[in-house]
Amino acid sequence: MTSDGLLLLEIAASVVLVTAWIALVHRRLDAQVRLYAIQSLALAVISGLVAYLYSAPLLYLTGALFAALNGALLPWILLTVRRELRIPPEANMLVSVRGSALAGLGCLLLAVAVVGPLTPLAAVPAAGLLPISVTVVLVGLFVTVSRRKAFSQVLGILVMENGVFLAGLALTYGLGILLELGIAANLLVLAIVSRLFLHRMKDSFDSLDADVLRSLEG
Amino acid sequence: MAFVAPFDLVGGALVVLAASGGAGLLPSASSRRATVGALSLALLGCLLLVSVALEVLLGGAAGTATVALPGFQSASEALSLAVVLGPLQGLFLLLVGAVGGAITLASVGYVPAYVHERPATLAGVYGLFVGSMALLVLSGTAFLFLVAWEGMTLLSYVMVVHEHGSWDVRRAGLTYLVMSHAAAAALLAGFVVLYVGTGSTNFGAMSANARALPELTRDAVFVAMVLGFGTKAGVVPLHVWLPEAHPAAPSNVSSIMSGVMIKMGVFGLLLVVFEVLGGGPLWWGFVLLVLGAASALLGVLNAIAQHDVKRLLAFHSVENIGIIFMALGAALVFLSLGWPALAAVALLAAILHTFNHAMFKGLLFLGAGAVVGTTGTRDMEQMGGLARGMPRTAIAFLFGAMAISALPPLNGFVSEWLLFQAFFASFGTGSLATEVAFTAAAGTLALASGLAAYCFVKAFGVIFLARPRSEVARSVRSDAPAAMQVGMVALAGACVTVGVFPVLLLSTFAGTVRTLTGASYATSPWAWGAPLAFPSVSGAATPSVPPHGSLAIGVVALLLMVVLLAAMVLRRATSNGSPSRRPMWDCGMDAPTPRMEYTASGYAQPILRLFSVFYGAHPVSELGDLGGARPGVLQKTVRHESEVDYPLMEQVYSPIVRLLRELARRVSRLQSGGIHAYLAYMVLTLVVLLVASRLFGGVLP
Repeated sequence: MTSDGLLLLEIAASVVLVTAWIALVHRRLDAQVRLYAIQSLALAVISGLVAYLYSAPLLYLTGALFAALNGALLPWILLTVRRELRIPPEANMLVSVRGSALAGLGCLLLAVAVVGPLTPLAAVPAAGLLPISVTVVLVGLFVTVSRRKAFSQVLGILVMENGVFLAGLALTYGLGILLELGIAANLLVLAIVSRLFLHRMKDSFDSLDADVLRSLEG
Repeated sequence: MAFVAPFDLVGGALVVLAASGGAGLLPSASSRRATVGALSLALLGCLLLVSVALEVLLGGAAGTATVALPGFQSASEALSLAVVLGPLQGLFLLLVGAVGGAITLASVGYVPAYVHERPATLAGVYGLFVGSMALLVLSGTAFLFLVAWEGMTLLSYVMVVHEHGSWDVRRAGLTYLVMSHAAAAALLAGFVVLYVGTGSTNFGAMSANARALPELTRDAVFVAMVLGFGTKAGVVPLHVWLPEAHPAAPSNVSSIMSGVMIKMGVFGLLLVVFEVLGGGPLWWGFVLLVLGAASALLGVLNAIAQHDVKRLLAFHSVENIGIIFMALGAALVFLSLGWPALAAVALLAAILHTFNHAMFKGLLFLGAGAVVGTTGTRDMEQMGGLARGMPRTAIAFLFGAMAISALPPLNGFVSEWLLFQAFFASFGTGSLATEVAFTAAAGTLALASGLAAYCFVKAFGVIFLARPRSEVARSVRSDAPAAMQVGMVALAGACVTVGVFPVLLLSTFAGTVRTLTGASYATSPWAWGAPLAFPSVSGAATPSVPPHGSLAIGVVALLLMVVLLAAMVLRRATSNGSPSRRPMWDCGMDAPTPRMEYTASGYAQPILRLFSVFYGAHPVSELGDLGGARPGVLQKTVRHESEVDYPLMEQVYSPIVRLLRELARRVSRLQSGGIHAYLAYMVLTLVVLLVASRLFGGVLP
């Protein structure tokens, strides 16, 4: 265990946090997807670092898988979908940029306030990642709530999942390879289903604004 | 000495009933064959249930046997399944099997003849329904009980809405479903409280611990049980589904619902309040007594106002359930006063009336079914003179009508007489409140019985006697199908037999009465003169029964029979030859027409006016005046009709419905339909939970 490793870990964690926050306030969808990709890659790095620091070799595999899937494949699918469906590149925000930025800070404060006291309980130094992971989950949730487009909601859920992954890393040196594979498979299905869903929605409503779903109300 | 163990037999019966459902519900080439097949299997199942019941009741299989179902022992004890077969279960299996069997036999005739839409489906659901009632009776754990209870409710709902083409039927079904679910919720709450308190869902274990529960807990369970079982039984003011659902259902279904299913509410009360809770404070008994008295009186008064024959019978079910509840209440009162022997008398009255009502109400609904099926109308004013076209139905209906009017020597008399005895026996118990209450209750019972007789004079007279009031009634030539006649005759025969030899049936109650009250009595059913000698009721270490409470119920019946027989013989001896036919005096008008007959509304009028406070009735009289010098003297037309409101419906249920609607409207605002709103709810919930865990979490430093 080296302090360099820990430093790298902290830097990577900061990248995860900052990308989540920037994605929250950014107006362009493509940029948000790329930020998500960067965040996923940072998570893969964290996974590798934890594997190295705590000699948990399976986490190398997890990290590689994560980089390939969340860092490359999913962003690619999302960008393709956006282009195919000709979704306008701006995120329609229900909450202003300033409000979103404050909400992001609020998420961080809440996470630190709630989970912070837990950190000393955990035996591993990596447990310091826990508040960050909760922040990312909350930010992902906030994205799903505060953006009008169904596309953004898919993105928000993916960000949430990254937060869960980070929490898994922080607490248990990874969720276990089986669980990890299961989540990976789930995410892929999510991407495919949401792709189908977006196509279908476009056909039915001629719009990808999630508010049109209101017309289904009985 | 049993050839087959009761549990195997009862298992067989349940399998046969399930097969009956399969025969009716699976696709089949011949609808008629499927119908008859399903009903025959249901009949076989009923006969097996009777044999189980007799084996338990007569075979001396004293005590209660419980069998845990293998493979159903859930990890959670609360969800385990077991069946139980004791005296109480035997009694109600007998009820389901014997009365249900007679109704099933009649259904073999009724369903193919009168049900035109999907008869096989009805037959299949019917078989499953009988099975669900048997399973309910056999339940050894609260979990199985609730499952069977819901099954029974849902299956009966399906049958109620069988003719769902009509709006009335769907509405009746909805009322029934909603009230049943509210009742089931009350039962669930009651059982959960019992489970938490006693640590078991098994009735045996519950019973062992329930008596030591805190008073408040026991009261809560009692209230929940009265709400739940009272709704199913149809006791005022929880009865509103009953006069809607019974007329809407096909008649064989009304028959088994009114005859057997509503008795499951009585079974539940006996099981939980008497067996598990072991009785309670004085006010429990008075609650049942007051509910019962209200039901008896309001039921019969509403019945008198009805022109729809099935609605009339439905309200009589409310009345009779009221009588049963009065008896149960009296039993509880006696138990809490420490008079188990008197409690035994009241309990005998309750159980006997439960059986009696099953017999005669099953019979009456079958008769009504035959009449309604043949004439195509439920309106009594359109009937009349049907005794000529349907003589056998008329005779059977007459027996049912006499039995429900508590005329000796029929069964209705015996149970009501027993109940009167129980009420009168309260003098000498030394409790003034009880004496006053029971005197009032006896008065109510007498009034209700008298009004019931009044009502059935109207029902029988208007339907079967005099001249046909409509073309349909005039054209009736054929009696009910043969199987239906056999079923009705069986029930009528049972009414007479139990009326004359009540001890035959009473002897099978001994085990139940001993279990529930601790008092035992001896019977000798085969001794000559048995109907004369009511068994002496003796409870260990209790004050003796007050001397004026003679329990010789058979004496009066036999005396009346002798008088009746003597009168008939005398008449036969003094009359000379055959009756002669002469033209009828027609008051100087043209030949009398059916329009001049006493109508059902006309007959009910005096009672409606007398008791108008209970009705909110608006009798309307319109005189078409010819005018002239002195108005009101010469009238061209007179129209008279009476509308009967249902004040209870408006004053009790409408506010509840309005309140629920208002709440639902408010809640529905949450359901904006926008996905962002739902996501926001999730976020809010999460944030609140996180904050709460921070603030209140005990594990955190």
